[in-house]
Amino acid sequence: MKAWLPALLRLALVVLLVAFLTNPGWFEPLLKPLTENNAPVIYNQGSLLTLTVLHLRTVLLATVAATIVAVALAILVTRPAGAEFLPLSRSLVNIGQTFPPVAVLALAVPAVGFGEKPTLIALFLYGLLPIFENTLTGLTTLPANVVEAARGAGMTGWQRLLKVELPLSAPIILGGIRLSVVIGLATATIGSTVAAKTLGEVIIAGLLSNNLAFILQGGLIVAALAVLIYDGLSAIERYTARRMGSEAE
Amino acid sequence: MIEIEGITKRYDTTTVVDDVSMVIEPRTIAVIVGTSGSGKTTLLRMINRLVEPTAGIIKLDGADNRSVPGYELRRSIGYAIQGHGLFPHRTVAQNIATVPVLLGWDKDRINARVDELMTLYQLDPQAYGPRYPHELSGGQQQRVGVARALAAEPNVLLMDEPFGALDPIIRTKAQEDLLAIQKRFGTTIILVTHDMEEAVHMGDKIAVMDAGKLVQYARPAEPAISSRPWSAPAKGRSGCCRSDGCVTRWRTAPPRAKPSAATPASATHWPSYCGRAGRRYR
Amino acid sequence: MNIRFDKLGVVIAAIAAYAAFVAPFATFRANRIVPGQARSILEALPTATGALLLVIIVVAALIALFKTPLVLRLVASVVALVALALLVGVAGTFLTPAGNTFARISPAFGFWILIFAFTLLLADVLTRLELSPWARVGVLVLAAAAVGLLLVSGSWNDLSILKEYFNRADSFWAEGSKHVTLALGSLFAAVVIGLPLGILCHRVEKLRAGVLNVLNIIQTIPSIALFGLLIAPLGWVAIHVPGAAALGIRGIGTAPAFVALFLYSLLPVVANTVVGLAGVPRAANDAARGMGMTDRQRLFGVEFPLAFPVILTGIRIVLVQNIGLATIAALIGGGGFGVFVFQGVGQTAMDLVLLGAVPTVALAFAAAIILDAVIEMTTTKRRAETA
Repeated sequence: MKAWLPALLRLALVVLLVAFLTNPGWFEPLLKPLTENNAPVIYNQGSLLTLTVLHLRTVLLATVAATIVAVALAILVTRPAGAEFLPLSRSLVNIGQTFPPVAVLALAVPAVGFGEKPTLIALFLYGLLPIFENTLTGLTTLPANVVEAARGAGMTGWQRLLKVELPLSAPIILGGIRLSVVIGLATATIGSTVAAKTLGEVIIAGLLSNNLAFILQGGLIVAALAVLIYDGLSAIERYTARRMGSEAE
Repeated sequence: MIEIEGITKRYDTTTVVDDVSMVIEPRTIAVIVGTSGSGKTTLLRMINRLVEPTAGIIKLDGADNRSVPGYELRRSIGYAIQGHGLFPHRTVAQNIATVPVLLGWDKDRINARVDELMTLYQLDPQAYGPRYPHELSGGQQQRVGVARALAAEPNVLLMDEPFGALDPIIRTKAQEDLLAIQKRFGTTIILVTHDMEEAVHMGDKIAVMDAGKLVQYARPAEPAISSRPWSAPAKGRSGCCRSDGCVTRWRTAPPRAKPSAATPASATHWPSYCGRAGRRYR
Repeated sequence: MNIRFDKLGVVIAAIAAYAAFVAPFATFRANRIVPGQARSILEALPTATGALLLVIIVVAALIALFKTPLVLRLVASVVALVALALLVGVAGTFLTPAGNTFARISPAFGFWILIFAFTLLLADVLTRLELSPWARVGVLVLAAAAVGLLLVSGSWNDLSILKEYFNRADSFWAEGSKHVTLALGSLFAAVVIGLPLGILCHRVEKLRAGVLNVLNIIQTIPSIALFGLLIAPLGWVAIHVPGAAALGIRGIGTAPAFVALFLYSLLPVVANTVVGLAGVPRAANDAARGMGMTDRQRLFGVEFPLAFPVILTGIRIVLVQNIGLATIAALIGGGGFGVFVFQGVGQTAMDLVLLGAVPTVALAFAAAIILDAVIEMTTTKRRAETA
């Protein structure tokens, strides 16, 4: 494959996505064959653009919160004061990952009611795990002689953390955030089953009215967003890793 | 001057360093040799308190090294380790500037110092300053590592197998560079190595550690050192003696103690690998 | 004596104290959908029993709080959990007015965080004991047996979740078996297709990037959309391919759910097969070739056994993921425990949500523990052999 081909494909994807979100009418002929009985072709109970923005906002809020909490927790359990929590935290992460997102979502409803809140909680909880796990991996697999050099240079614990340990773990932490965002983008669609305003609304409307065009447009927008965001974050990850002379996967 | 008095380190029941006392004169190089597990690295790390001793005192120019917080102490002492430990996410210039930045030097002073050290180490500041460590060769990385340790003009430099990861030719060059720089700055250096040849080459005094104990501490030419049945060095690389009696070359000062009458220099027993007469020291 | 606090114990004791004395232990509702009224431990249980439970909680929390021997902590956490499990059933019976079939008693927030606190203690003890894989499976079996015993004994029969169960016992088991069939069946299909595909990708480098990219993109399609999108093609197949309808292939229902789960499962299986085979030491392969093994013999005799733990890790990911995702199948009429979850959400009947969610979580959890143990057994066996 030529080097410019993936970049070109991505650019085309961005252009398509923006065109679809701003002028969905243009694509009506394309989706028309998927509908029956003159059903509407383009989702008509709200603007796709607004739903996309709300969808992204939900994922962004949850991911930011999850990143802050997960990184803080990982830092805590890798300090001497929190070291005894380390094995337990690993087991908890392992257990936590077995909770299906739908279950988390449904169980959050009694606590906070319907709408965006249970979705945020589910995305937050589910987003925590990959970030925590990756941060932990990053902080516990630092090159020993670099950490030794930082201590030897007279850095305090905080200075080591901020100037050496976190920057060195950055690519791995970013990898966790990327996983968490991609999971979040997909999980947010399920949020619409508990009345959150996300792109899931379009898909569910399609499922309820047996309108394939709705399902397809909702699904493809989310998939396009996920692919683009995944690629973007991978690029940042590779950039930070390459600066340090190690290749990210 | 560094005074080590009755220093001991115990982990649970194992004693890693056992009641070691020694004095290191200012502006000299003391080399600590020993096999792995002899406690030499632990002894070194107790000087800048990367390891806290179980018992004993270490004084730097008369002051107990516990009179300031550990991190402040370490900023005043240079520290270079095997495999250099450069920060991979920082440029060469930023790496060298580490301790000056921690100490809050102003920008101009830091830049001047970084340039000075890089020039001294034959690294063009314009070309190499903005590079990342992985873009350098092994020898260059090692030089940056030592330059970083010297950046804040420390009186004392601790080195733990600093040349351990280098190949023989670059290693010899690095050793020579270090000797030149030690002469220029008058830094007191404590160097840990398992390579006897390096010890004899570099040290004004050599401390031999074995199973946590200091078994010898003397000048290289003294019989106590010279007659010791050394564990054979890895490779007989550089020569270290003259044909007329195996006296090491003294760099900073002539040896104060001449070989005694009882054991004339000619009678000392250098190991056989010193036999290539005058190979390097003519 | 030198008394020292256990850091985790401080957290556990704080949670337990809050849960036992401040948070409600049980909720009483006049019927299944009205808002509930909170009941504390002493209100929810007969006085003596309530006091006993409080004493058990306080003692267990104290054992957690200080640095105490592991065995003592193990006993404390197990006793506390058993007491909570038994007595929440007693609370159900105690709070239900005689002869009233509409009232619903459910464990409340306080009960759940007490369970959480002592499970945390138990998890900590078990982690520190560094149990062998067999022992971990043993603990799982014991826990499952204990829960099963409680269910059979009927001591939880007055709790709301079981009342929901009794109202739809038949469909519970039907949906449950559908759920398991979906999750395991799609995993099986993914292994049957994914393993050869992974081996092919390993052998033919040109295929690798393409196949993995396509599988990666499939993963980014949200599950509900993928489930929905498969309705049309499968509906078409059912009408136009002779015999397909007889096999149970239909536009809605189990078929699209099965295909969707299968598609999601392919990536971990294929990717881990490729990674596992790539990780086989070159020396082992060279030696095999040098001894005159054919490609086939090398694959089954050398490469495959060496890559096995990595492939197994992929299977673990798939199984846990599928058990969770199978809940979504309910949205397109595919059945599974998701039916109760989405019905419950629709009726705002949280007990019904729990009836679907709790078995799902339990299944996923058990699958993870068992497969983790199997993975560890295969890797440690290998290490012992090479040592």
